Amino acid sequence: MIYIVEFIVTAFRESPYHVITEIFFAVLLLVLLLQKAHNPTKEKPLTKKEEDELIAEWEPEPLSRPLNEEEKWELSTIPLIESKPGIMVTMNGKKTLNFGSYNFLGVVDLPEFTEAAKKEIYKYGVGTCGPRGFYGTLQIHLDLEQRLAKFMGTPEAILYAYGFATISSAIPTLAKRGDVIFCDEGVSFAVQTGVTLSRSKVYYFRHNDVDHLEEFLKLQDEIDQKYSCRLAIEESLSLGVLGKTERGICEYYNISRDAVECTTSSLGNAFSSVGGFCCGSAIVVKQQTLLGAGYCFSASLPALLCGSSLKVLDILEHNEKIEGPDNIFSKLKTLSLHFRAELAGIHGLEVAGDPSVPLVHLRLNSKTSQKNRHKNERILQEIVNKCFESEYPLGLTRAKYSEEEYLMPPPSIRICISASHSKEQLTKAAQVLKKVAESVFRDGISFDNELNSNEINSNNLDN
Amino acid sequence: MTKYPITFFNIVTVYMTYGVMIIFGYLEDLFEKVCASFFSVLGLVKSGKKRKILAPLTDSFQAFYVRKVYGRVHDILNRPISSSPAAWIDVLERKFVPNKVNQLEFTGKTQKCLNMGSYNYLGFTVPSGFHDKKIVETLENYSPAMCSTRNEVGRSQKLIELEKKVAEFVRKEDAICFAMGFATNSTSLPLICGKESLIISDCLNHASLVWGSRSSKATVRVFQHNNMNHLEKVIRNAIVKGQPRTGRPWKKIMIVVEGIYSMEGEIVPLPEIIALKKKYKCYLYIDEAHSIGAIGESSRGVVDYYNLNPSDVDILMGTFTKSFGSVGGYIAADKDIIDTLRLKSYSSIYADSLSPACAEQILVALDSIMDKNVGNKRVKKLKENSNYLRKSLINKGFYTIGDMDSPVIPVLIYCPSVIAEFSRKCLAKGLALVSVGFPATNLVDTRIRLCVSSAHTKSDLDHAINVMDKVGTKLMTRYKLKNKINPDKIKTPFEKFSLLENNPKISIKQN
Repeated sequence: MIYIVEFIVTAFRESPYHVITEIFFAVLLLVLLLQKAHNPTKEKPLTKKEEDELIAEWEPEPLSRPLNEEEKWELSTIPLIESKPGIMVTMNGKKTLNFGSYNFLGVVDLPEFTEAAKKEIYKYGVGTCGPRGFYGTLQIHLDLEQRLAKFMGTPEAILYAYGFATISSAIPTLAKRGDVIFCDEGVSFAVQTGVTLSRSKVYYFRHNDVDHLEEFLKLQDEIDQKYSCRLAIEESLSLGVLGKTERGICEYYNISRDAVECTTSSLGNAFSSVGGFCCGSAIVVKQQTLLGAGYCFSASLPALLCGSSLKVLDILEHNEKIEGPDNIFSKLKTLSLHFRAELAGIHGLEVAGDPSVPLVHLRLNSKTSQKNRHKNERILQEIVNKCFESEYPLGLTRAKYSEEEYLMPPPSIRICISASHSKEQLTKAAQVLKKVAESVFRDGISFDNELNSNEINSNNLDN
Repeated sequence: MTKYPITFFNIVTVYMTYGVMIIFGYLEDLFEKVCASFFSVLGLVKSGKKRKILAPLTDSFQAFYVRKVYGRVHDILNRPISSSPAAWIDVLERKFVPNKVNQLEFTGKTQKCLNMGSYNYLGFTVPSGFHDKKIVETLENYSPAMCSTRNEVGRSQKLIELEKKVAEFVRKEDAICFAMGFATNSTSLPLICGKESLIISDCLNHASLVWGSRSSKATVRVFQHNNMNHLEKVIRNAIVKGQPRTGRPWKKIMIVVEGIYSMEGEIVPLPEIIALKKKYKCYLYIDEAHSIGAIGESSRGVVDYYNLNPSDVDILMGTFTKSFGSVGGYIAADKDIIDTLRLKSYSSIYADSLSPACAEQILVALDSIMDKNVGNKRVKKLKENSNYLRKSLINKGFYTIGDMDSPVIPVLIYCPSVIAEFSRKCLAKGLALVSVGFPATNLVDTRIRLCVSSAHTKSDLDHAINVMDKVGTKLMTRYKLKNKINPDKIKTPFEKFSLLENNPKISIKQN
């Protein structure tokens, strides 16, 4: 300190003006540095009074609006089921031939199927009163998981209480923020939900277009040299339908199940129950037992539904030993081919899908289809209604989709063929469909006074 | 998260436990690695080389935590049972396989235990063989499931009957029922709160509500658990500032709370929330998963408990898993909302509809509750049981949290290794408990949770208290032994509300 003062004093003696100027600049620099910046854009915070005024001004939108005419109509077309969803089903008070339920294996009508569920009510009651973690794991859950894993040929399986929650919980456990998902744009809505919830980067490739997928994968290869992809398949509709012993898409193409890291399926379709499961390697399953939201935070599957699923597994395993026409798979295939052959030449409609698949979508063809989706739905509903009213009543349904779908499928009538349908039933049904389609397209539908004429179901609108 | 008072001794022991587990875990891993590289140098282990490998599913610390911390205590979680989850259950005995890391095997034996874990509040889950005959009848007339979605061909007669009954029970215009409680929240919230809406959610809300808010296009803000001042601050701030970036006013603001918080055992201060909601023109969504059936004079949930008007709550959601002993969930609200949900909810369009037999179980339960003569017997018994157990535990010096009258009684234990031993010892003495720890709670707030049922008798509860007393003494978890509070002086949430009634802030006593 003393040295500095001495230095300044000697310097002042040598050239005073120089030192005075330097000191002046040093002080100026200090003043400038310490001065608060003048910021004209900075606002004063609102006073409480101003806040109150803003709050008083704010008016929320109503929580909901009444349904419009289209929506009301849509709601009125939902049928009421008053019996077992077997081959014959009582729909809106009338016995019809059921083509709506996903009862591919035809187990619903089997007495032992109901019996299996009943047995579990005797033993476990109905609900499980808690999630799997909190004494909601019943012995039967473990049995069913083991049996499913064995059936699918994977090390382990995990049960969910809801088909929709299965894949939408499974994907977020396998992919997180920072991961990449390549996804077919035609995947079901549950998959889309899972993919969104995972917060990963998602690329949708064109439906069933492997070349498009390859393009994506090549691009990804350039970015990331280290890791390869995992494959997850949603088999809700293919399991119990495809393959020689109904083990799904892998068996259909003769590929080992090991090639797929994660397979999920609903138990609501071929298994004619409620719930879902995911199977795969031990680590994939373990990951879900720890993190799967639909598994950890939801009550477990009621025992009676496990019981019926176990019965279906029994039936499927027994079916393996059956050769010839009684084999459920070959039966389903013959019936599907037969039904499509009978439907050939149907007026104004096209029969979509693979010929051997027991799920048939009837869509309007390029001539009959109109631009307005709602009008198309109305035409299809008219066919459904007329089939329902015909002498040989058919229980049909349109396929329903949410507006949020990534790729909205065209409107269609969805027909599920069951192994319990007989050839005669299918022939007759096809005849009725053809006749009705012809009459509908010949007469046309008027959309003006439709509310009175078209709705046979309006009276049961949640009566 | 709520902070519970904790002594210095407890903090030190908890962190020490985690520290020891983690340090020894890492040492084990290091030893394994050294050995592996040693053997590979010797050429005993062949390492195949692939060009590309699969990305790991978990980050390394999570995998480590699962192996070395969770794995050591996972025998106290996910215990399977082989009976109906009624008041007494048969727990399948498991033990660690010797010489295998964290693997459990069944010994083939079962143990009869008092069930303090299941959400069987009203005792509608009965011991094997005591079910209602109507359920079997329905099962025979319908089938286990409808094999279709609600909007296609899954709308069964039973479902309609149930929806009507539920609407009548919760005193709302209309109701819709789904086959899964979790999905009820996670698929309905996105439809109720769309773009440009704001969801203000309690920070301890259930995962289903979090998922619902996340998959909706609305913005989500969180307020501190049951903290009304913070909630008001969040609402004011939201309305004043408007939407982020654009500053436009919000279309609607929805407050989402739960009736009873299942991990805390706390009842929501509904009167204050309704006052706030009215003041700021927000909407209110209550998840009554645990409170429906379990509290209230006529077991109609938290609205009934505070004697409020159901029309003050816009959306009432609940599940059938808990009090009704079945499966599924409902949403009750005005007809317009419910019709929209019927038409557009993902669960109505894409998911299996409710099994008719399960619907019948709920109907049986509802009929019994709504019966004028015997209806509120169960809920009265439940309240008696819960308060008896809570008071006894407090008297024994256990640190219980949560509110009086709530059937969920968490007991703080703090230390993860102590809780494992606590749970094992209780099981050995015939008491099945639920233990909850990190990451479901704060790191230090590891707790035991007891769920009371009206099916428990007084001697059952005494058994539970006895066992816990013995085990608690041995493991020194009776933390409040010295500075006990008099349990009779604790006010129930309802009493607190009555005290507040004259407060101008809450001028909502129903007319």
